[in-house]
Amino acid sequence: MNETKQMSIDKNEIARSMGTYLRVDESGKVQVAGVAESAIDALTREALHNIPCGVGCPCPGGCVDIKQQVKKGPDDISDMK
Amino acid sequence: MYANNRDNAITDFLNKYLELIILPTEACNFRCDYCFEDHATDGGIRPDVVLGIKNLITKRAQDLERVTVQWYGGEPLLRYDAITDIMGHLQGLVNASGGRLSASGTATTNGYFLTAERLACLVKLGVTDYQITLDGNREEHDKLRKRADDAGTFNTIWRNLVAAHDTGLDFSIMVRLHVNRDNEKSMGSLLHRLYHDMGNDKRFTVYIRQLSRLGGPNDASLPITDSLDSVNRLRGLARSLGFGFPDIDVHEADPKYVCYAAKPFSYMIRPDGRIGKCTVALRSEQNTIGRINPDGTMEIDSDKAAWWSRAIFTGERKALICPSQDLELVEPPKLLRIASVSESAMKRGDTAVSAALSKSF
Repeated sequence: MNETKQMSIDKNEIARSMGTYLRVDESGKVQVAGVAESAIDALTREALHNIPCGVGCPCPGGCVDIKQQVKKGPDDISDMK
Repeated sequence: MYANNRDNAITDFLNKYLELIILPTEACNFRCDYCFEDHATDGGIRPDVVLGIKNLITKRAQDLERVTVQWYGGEPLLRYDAITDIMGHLQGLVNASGGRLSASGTATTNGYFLTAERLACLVKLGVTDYQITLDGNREEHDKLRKRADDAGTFNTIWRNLVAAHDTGLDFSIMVRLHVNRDNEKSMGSLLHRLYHDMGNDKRFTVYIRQLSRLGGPNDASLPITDSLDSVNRLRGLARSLGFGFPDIDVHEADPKYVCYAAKPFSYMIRPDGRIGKCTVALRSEQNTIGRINPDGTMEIDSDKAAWWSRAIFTGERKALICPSQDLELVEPPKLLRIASVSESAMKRGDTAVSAALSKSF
């Protein structure tokens, strides 16, 4: 019963999540598994970029739109989109 | 082993890089009308945090190929001493590596304390790229970007920019220009002044965008313009004057762009040693993923770290570009709770799981 309900919530999400693994050790090294192919290329390019972001902050990637909502604090962001 | 060869290769790859976004203070000498930060009055980065960062870099130096440090704040140059201390240490490791390790540094600063003398020292230590914001010529700029004592800031910043231009140093300064409802004429005047004083200096670029509401207390009264007309006219003017544009607009549309907060090897370190991911969502508990210790070890909540990097598993563009957009998921999402099961399975060497996973991507 529960399993049926869970799968009906978001089958695709569960399928994707089965592949996730990320752990960080005390030196900041990461272990990952199940990285999406589409992300590897992007990560590779960004990792080689001289400037991690190049944008500074507030960045134009959309972050500015959430500031007002984040300002409400972690207890009051349930309405964020 | 939990991972297959491809995943091992990715892990090795990711661990060649370390990106630190360091907030040496969250205090600021400015009180910009649109600022979203709290203007904390902290004493700046604690000595034990400086020590921890230096020890972390030292411990990792043998395995790293590149370290990048972004200085952010508050106003980072309020703790110029900490910047030179950490960058000096990093440069020592780079010099000792025989070319194997490289390092670079950037700073998002208001420019008020960036004298030519300091710039020369910072460039020598590897901090070569800067972002400095202007909101128009002096009159308009000083309306919005004021000192904490309400005094204007334009003249000092301009003096520092011109002094930087007069040096032969190898740096880049992106002048960020915020367009609002009232300052198009002033911005036009400023662009001509930039052109007159340093227009052919390719070390200077301009980035023109609308003023935004950033979550600060004055948001309701800001002279925001919803129209892009002014921005487009000013960008046209800047182009006609020959200014270089940074590749920010390319970033926005770039299908390979990844926000620093989504990268597993990127850490934001606050003055008290807290480790986070996003420089914007400073008030969010989800954005405190751990702490750095004086010996250079990091205590990281891997589940939280995984949440910020979740898009590298799903490939979801929206969360690669800005993982904060899903901050409504402040509770560990289903995705990660299930991941812990997957982790156990992987550690058992459950190849059936791995095989099933590879089909899902």
